[in-house]
Amino acid sequence: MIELKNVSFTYPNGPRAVDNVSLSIDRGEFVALIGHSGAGKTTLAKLIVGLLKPEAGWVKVGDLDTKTTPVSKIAEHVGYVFQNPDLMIFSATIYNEVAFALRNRGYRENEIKKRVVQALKEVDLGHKPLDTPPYMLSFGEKHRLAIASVLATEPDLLILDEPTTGLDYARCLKLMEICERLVKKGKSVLIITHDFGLIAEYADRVLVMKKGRIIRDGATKEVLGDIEFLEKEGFMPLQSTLLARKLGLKALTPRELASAILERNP
Amino acid sequence: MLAGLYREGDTVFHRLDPRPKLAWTLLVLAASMATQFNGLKSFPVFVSVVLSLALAGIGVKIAFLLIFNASIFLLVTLLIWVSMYSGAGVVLAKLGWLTITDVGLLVALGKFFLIMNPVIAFVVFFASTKPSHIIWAFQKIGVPYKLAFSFVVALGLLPSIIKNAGDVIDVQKARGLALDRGNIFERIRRYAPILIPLISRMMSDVWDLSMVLASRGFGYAKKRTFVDTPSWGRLDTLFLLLSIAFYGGIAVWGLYL
Amino acid sequence: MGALPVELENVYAKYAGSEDWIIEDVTLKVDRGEMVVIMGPSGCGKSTLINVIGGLIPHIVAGVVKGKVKVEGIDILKEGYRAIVGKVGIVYQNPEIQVITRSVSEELAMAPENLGLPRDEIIERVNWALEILGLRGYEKRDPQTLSGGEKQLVAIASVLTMQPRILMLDEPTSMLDHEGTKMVLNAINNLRENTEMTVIVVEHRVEWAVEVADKIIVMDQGRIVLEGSPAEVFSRGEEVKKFGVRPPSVSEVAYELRARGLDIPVPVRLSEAYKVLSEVFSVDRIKER
Repeated sequence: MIELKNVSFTYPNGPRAVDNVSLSIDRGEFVALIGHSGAGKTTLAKLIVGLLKPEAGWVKVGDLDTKTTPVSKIAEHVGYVFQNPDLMIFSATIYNEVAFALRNRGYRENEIKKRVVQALKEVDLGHKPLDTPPYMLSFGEKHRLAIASVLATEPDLLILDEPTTGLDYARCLKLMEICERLVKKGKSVLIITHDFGLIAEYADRVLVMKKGRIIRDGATKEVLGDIEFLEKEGFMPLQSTLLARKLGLKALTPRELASAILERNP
Repeated sequence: MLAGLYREGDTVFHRLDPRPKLAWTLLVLAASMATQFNGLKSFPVFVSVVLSLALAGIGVKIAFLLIFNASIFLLVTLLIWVSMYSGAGVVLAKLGWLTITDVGLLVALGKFFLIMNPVIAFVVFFASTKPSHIIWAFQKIGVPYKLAFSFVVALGLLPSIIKNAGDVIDVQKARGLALDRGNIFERIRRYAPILIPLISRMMSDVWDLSMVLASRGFGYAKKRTFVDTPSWGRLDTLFLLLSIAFYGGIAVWGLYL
Repeated sequence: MGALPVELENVYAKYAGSEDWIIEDVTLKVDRGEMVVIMGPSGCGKSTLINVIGGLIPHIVAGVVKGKVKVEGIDILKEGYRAIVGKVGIVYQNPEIQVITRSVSEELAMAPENLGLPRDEIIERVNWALEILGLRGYEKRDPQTLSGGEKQLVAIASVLTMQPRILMLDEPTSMLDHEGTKMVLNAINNLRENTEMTVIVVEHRVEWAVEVADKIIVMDQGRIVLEGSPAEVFSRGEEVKKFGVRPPSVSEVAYELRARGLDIPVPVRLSEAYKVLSEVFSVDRIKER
């Protein structure tokens, strides 16, 4: 569904931010993208949305080539949510905020209403009156509002850039549940994050980026379970994973470890 | 942007004490004001500030960039002032409704330099003077340092606002925002999705910044210590005297001769 | 004996214009040299508490504070901000807005310069801060060009030059990647070991907190709901999760096992967990790391 082939990109006056990356993301995938600051994660996300055009290679969103398709058209298929929702939100009511993307594309008002209500429900903001001003929402709610405004065009892929910064654990889980629901419906989610705990519980696949290249692409169990690899690259493996290793077991999350222990010792 | 203009370097201008430099920018302003009705007399001032760009290591390239961007301004200035003085002096040419006289041209040039010269001078000042030295200089001449500091630090926020602006524009473009359609009023309205998040971001940055400054004792001591202070040397005295002589002379020339 | 670094009694606080209290009836004592970690869901008042202890509310930021707030024996509400300037250092979450100048040494000198200290003393303090945080060689570097983790180290250093008795950090790693996080957490550990500073940190990374904290405080809706040593707080099973706090993953393993009927103690640290689990179960010890 989303395909990148030999994509490279360099910022003017900068080093190569994305270096010869090839990858594909299918429907129903929950992918996590990890890497240290400056590895090129946000640049990659912007290339997928079409905000940046590759200087080499191509990026295809369905049949659309990002080099020849306007950003607003690509954005109908790929939704990109910033880390800081305050950089996106500007409307007087949550209704208008979510409707923005639809109005720009000329949808009819009754279709807009339908989609807005659906999107707000999707992010657990359905209980709020439609004329609620965004400034009355908490930080976590604003974040979900930003996601709703991007979901309104029913994109196939949702990209979340470091969505858990500033969110406490309970709200992180809520966010992950929303993503999981979307994935079950056949959408895909690409989440850029440092939070291995959440990745281990929710993502199926992990991409590791370093200096513009993808150095690892595999199942979550396999990548986050490779303690040597993670430590060599400067990441902190999950304690449950480390504990499992110490006990001679293979497990990633606390739940998996508990099961593994009980299996071994009924 | 002004404080963010400072670029590290070891040029003549960098080595000067901030006080004669500040005096210099004010002298440029004074001389430009005194010669605003005669472009020929303010031309030497212009040459001197272009020279200063080179001496500050900024590069004549940037000067021409400034002028290139100012060429629209130049054109507008020319049109306005030439038409205002079309009755005075010797007629040189007639272009449709516009009568160009020699006086008209001289005044137009003078007005152009009135703006360009001080602007370039201030650019040179901020590009070649460390922000901390600017603040120190203000404290020396009696301006409360809190004011100068706030000004300098606030300007330091500008680069981050510009970076955020890029991000905001990207995101709103992805939501389908089209900035290049519609009449002038519609276009202004279309900037709301960009301006509102930026302004709210700027306000929250200012809030955060004031907490950081407060927790670092900002404003505590009446007389703030400065570890890195400029020192006045012979070069500074020479520079100051030369500036007074040169710009003073031009001012007199512009006003009385 | 001397005064306690921090003594709060029945403190209520809110920002100007707010109807509700952000902090309600908070009583807290912190001993000299103690390391306290504060946790809790967003909006529970953690940052407000930091700003109250630092004297920023009500003196710098408009707000109302009720109750007793004593820092280093000084009653902040009575005596005003100037009385504690320099005694409390605060490091915030966002590295981008904490670096203001164009060179690391300027940045470090800023706070003592503001305090009007003599020039030589400032230079000495700057060198000390550079040393203690491993920032030697960074003197002339432009802070804007540093990584997030390095920026935070510079922010900590710029506060250390005031030689505060109390250091407070409000979510210092939440905007950093793994490398930056390690840098900052190691720096805090370092400070703890090599100075007598009292440290209060708001931090989500519970696995680090349990290794270093003397006391963990959990807040919810402006109140302190749990307080105690790491073992005390996290052995409470699912209670902490109720307050939006993520327990250490090794404790979660124990919760899971307990939920399935096994009565085992709840470890909080990795080393404890290994001990507990390998004693309770017969586990191959071949793969000792």
